[in-house]
Amino acid sequence: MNKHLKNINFRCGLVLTAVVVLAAAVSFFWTPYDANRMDPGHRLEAPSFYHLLGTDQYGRDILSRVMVGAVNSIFVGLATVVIGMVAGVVLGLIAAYIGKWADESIMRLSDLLFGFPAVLTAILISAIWGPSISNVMVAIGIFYIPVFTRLTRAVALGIWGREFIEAARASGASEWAITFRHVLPNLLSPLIIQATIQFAVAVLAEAGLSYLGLGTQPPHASWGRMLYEAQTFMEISPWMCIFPGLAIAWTVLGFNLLGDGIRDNLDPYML
Amino acid sequence: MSSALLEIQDLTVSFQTSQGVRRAVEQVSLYIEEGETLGLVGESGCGKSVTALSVLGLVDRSTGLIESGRILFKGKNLLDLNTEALRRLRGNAISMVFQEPMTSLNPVLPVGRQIAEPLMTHQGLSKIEAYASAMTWLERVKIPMARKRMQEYPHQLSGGMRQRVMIAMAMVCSPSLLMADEPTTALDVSTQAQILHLIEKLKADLKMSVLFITHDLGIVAQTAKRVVVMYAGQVVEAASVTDIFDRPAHPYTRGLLRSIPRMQPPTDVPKKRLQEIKGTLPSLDIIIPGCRFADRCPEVFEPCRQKKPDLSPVQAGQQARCWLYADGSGKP
Amino acid sequence: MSQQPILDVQDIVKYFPVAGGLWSKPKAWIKAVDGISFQVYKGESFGLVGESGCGKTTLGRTILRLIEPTSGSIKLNGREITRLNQREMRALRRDVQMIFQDPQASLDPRMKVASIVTEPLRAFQKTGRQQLRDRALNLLEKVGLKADALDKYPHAFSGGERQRIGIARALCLNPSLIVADEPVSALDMSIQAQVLNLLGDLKTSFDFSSLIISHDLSVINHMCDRIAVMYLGVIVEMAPSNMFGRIQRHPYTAALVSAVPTPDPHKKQSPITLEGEIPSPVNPPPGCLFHTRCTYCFEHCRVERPTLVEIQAGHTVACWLNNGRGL
Repeated sequence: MNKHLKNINFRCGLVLTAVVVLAAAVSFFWTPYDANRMDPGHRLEAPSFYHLLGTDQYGRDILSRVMVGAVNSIFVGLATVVIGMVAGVVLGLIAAYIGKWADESIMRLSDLLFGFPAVLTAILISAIWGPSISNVMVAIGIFYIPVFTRLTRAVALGIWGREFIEAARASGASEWAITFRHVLPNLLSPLIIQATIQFAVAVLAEAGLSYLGLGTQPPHASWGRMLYEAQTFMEISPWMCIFPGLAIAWTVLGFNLLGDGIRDNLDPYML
Repeated sequence: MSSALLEIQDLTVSFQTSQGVRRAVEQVSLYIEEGETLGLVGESGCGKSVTALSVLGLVDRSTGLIESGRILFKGKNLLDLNTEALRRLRGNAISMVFQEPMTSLNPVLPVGRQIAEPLMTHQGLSKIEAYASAMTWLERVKIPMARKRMQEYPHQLSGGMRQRVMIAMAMVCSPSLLMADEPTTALDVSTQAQILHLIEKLKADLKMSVLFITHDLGIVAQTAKRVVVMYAGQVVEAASVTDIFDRPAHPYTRGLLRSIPRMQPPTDVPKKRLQEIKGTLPSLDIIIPGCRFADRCPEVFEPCRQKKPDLSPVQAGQQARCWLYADGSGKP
Repeated sequence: MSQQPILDVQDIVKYFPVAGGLWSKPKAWIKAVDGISFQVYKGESFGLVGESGCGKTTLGRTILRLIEPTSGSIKLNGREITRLNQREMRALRRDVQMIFQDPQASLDPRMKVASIVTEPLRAFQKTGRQQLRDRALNLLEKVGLKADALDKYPHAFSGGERQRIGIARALCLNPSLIVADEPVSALDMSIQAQVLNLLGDLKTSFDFSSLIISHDLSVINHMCDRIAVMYLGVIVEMAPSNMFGRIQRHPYTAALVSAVPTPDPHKKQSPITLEGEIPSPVNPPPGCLFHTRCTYCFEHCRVERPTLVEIQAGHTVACWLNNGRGL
């Protein structure tokens, strides 16, 4: 671990993301105020000792809402990456292992998905199933499948061509054993890197979709939603948009740095 | 010794690695006389390639550092030259052939152009003259259909032919020194024989000197006049080729000669075990206070682990870095 | 050596398709192995030697069915293996294991040594953790590695040590045949002898037969009892190794032997230089495959391909010279 911490990207990324995760974790037990409690007496208040980040147009505490919003963002990030990674790894492995027609059809399908505008699909899904956070997760998750499929296929093809796979086969190991014992562990590092970066993208995408009103529904706190509500009051109470905006930038930067850091740290002997 | 074409004196080269500074080459001295072939023998990491690269100033400047020493070429210290002067020397008076011709040739340029290039840069020939000369060189290195091959790219040629192209490239400016770094290691035996024969012939025609870097004792025996053996960054023995093979002085040289499998034993004698050298090559990370071969040496005794041995004379023209010969008597 | 062979290869052929378009038929065939037969008997070391592109590596992989043969028969301990399905074949792998050339590439960088050397065992039976460790420890000791190697990853070892790990893995199930593809080519010269000696010692203690594939004549000559020389997918000469150093009947073998640089400055060699290059296996020459480079080539050589003819006990050659007796 010491060696990893030497990398400046990794260190910064770790600190930034740790703050976000900590804030989210704390929000389960404690927030300065109830994030959804309105307080007409303290509307649009500037940051002060009582409300560190100020309040919004209903008098809700922004710090509390940013903290709760972090849970939302992390949840979306995790769910989408899991959807994309599980489906993508399976499809990628199938494409790489069987090759020929399976490879062709899976790759063309993912090309198709790649070429399709994500926001449009999200709007489509929301239009059909109604706007909700779970639909956003599905929409973003689906678009992650080709990302992970391509990565898995490319890396797996390389691994399957390596001599230690042939050695395992010559040892008598079954194809299942080879996949689980040799291919998957060697896939892990590139997958982790990709996952951290996709996580950041998901946070951004969720914010965008919520901003458009397709994601998290009021009164639940979401950074995108907060930005949307803040734009009307931008001139009189800029803190309403500054802090959720900062939270988004912070998180995205954190995960991107973490991803870069892991990539830099990867032991060349181990890849 | 003053007639030496190239003389390396006490060359020490170190590299910056993630684990700290490593000495890849330590106090290496050797010389090559005009028209002779010097065999530089050693295993991977012994510093033989770094020694050759230092001559041409090709040691990576960002990580490598020539700590000390002199490299005299025709009496001039190459380490004093600036980049421009060194560049004029490379591929001109001194040229080099590498092990893997595929990676040392530019994949996107036709081979004819690559051979002609040094002529244009070093000798100021016009394009037409340079190409004409390049073609005669392709013929001289026995590449069939030279005219057609001129326009081909490296990947269209076989390994043997690529190595011939490399040699042609190295020879166009008639160098006085050719450094060949494992030029046949990537090739098959029959192709190797062709290439060795070619180098031998060109050497005679052009009266040049050759520094032949190899790990193959067979090649050394067949091509070199004198031999320098390196181990873990140091010269451990230097002698004429006959002395090296008939009267090897250093235990490492002796061990190597005994450990290689040979084609010879044609009689019906049962196959004997090879006499192996125990242990593994020392890592350059660890600083060894005494002799670097001590841990593997069958003849190790007290001083070996305490103090570094110097190169000591064994007999006229033969030196060994070994405490056995330190009294100067030339006898163990 | 007259009993039933451990390995009996009959007329094995492997053609690789040269891909046409995606859906179209192959444009041509690479004739990597073009009709090879030989036997390996119990306790014997059989050597296959040849230059790059002669098909020796393909042949080795085909015998283990890591590559499917196009036609021919391979019998392992008397049992035909070319028609076995994947499951049956896997069960048979107990008996034949492989040692690879590049110990860096053939060991999974993410696996600890203990897991690597016991992989064959785990493939065949459920074994307890402790038993696996005991077996691994025992194997490591046999190949001369220390116990602390168990929990390290391959990158912590030198080339020679890695090859020892590869050898330990091959020995895990006491196979009756070991196929070794260039087992020492990637190693430094002072390490080569160690590994060659180790293989010799283990052969005695584990009592396996071996098929050694190499481009290095001296290594093959040292390790093997019988040697077959391959050229362009066929065997051109086969002889006991004690004979091999003295008499070569096939012009190609003679050239090959003469081209090995002798480590003796008093014996200056003049190798028989072969002109030109090895022809493409996609379009091999008609008649004798070697005739395009052979100095003794005469009319008949261009027309008909010679077959292996026994010229004396255990020595066969495929050459039309001297009524099929070679040089």
